Amino acid sequence: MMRRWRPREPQLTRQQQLSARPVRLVAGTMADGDGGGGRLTVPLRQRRWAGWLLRLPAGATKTFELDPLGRFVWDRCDGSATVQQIARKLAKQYGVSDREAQVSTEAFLATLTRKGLVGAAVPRNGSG
Amino acid sequence: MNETAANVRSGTARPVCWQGWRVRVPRRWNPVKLEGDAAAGYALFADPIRPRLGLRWQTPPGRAKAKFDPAAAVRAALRGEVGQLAADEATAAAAGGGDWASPVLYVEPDPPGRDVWVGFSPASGRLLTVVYHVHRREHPLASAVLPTLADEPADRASTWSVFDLTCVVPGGMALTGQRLNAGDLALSFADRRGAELTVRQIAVAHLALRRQPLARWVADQQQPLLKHYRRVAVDGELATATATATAVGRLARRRRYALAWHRPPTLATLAINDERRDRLVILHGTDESMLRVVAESVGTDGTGAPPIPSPFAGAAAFDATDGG
Repeated sequence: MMRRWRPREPQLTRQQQLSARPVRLVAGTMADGDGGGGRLTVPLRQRRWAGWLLRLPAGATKTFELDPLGRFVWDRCDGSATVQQIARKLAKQYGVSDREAQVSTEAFLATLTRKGLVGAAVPRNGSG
Repeated sequence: MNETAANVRSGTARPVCWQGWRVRVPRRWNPVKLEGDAAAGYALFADPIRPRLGLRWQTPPGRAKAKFDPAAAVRAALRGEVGQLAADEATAAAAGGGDWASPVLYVEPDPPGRDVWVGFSPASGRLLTVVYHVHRREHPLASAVLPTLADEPADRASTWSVFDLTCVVPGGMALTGQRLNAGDLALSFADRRGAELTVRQIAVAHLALRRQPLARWVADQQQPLLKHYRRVAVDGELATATATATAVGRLARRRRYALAWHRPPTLATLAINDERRDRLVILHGTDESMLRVVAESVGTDGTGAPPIPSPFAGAAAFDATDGG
């Protein structure tokens, strides 16, 4: 059986990963949640093929519940700060170690990327 | 003086204590690999970009015999690390903390490469190998890292410090498990007599307590054990003189498991809200008095900062020289 050809994903160096600048890909609205968190509401997009089977009503939205740390990171995904800078600010704000902040930030950004909420501008030379 | 040495000397370094050895490293270096046990293992420290320091410990065979030669064991370890020609260029170099037998240091003359130090610790009977991955003409291993390297015997009360979690556990207790997730660090210990101890630290406390109260954290810690144990008591949110909220939960083995001798008859869980550090500390083990003593030591980061204010001022501290 023939496999569909897919282009290989570019391999990023560690420096490039940390120098990437996360950018929001959706125009959602953020409402204040309990205890400093927030509720992010984004419009649902109709999938190309799924639309034949299940047509979404106009104005359908999806809501994501963010805790205070998640909101802290989301608020800084504006393309101006790198992943490393966001992690450092998180560590400073909440008094956690750099490593813990970095791991948490990267994991959270990876989740947001999988959900299609955030993309990242990666510098070619890794210098940021 | 290079940047790494300056960091260690100026106090922007933090201690890492693991399996009896301790060393101070710059704050940007974090352990990315911790494996093995007290007899042999490996630790790797890395900054956000690259690996920086490797530390290997091993128990050489025949160390108890009278004819054991520490110098020969050190030379053999160095030869295995850098090869015969480079090992011949090594010079004697003592480390700062503790008594080391036949310590030698090989400095890479043409970076990038590796600086390697090997020494035998008579206190623990182990051979320690420290490898610094040097990528430019700086050699902080000799000037900054080695002066802080120390080793202690396994039968004494030992300090454990990794990331943000620091504690002192009684002698004779060996590490049985570790879970080092971001914001949720846990170390589990046990000794040969069946005593168990788990030290867990959750950051950030005020966010964790917003999710659920302290007593609920105790209940969650005990949840996996409820098949074999029943809850006896939960004292939650006790007000103390030090304004440090605590919760204590006790478990007793169910009667139908009375013959399960390998399970301790009682277990206790202690949760403390350390407001000064904004950390939640959860201790779980077989001996409640031991938990209270260990709670006294959690949070002393080795920089001279006072420990967390403990609500158990009357608890007797175990002797540092206690054999278990």
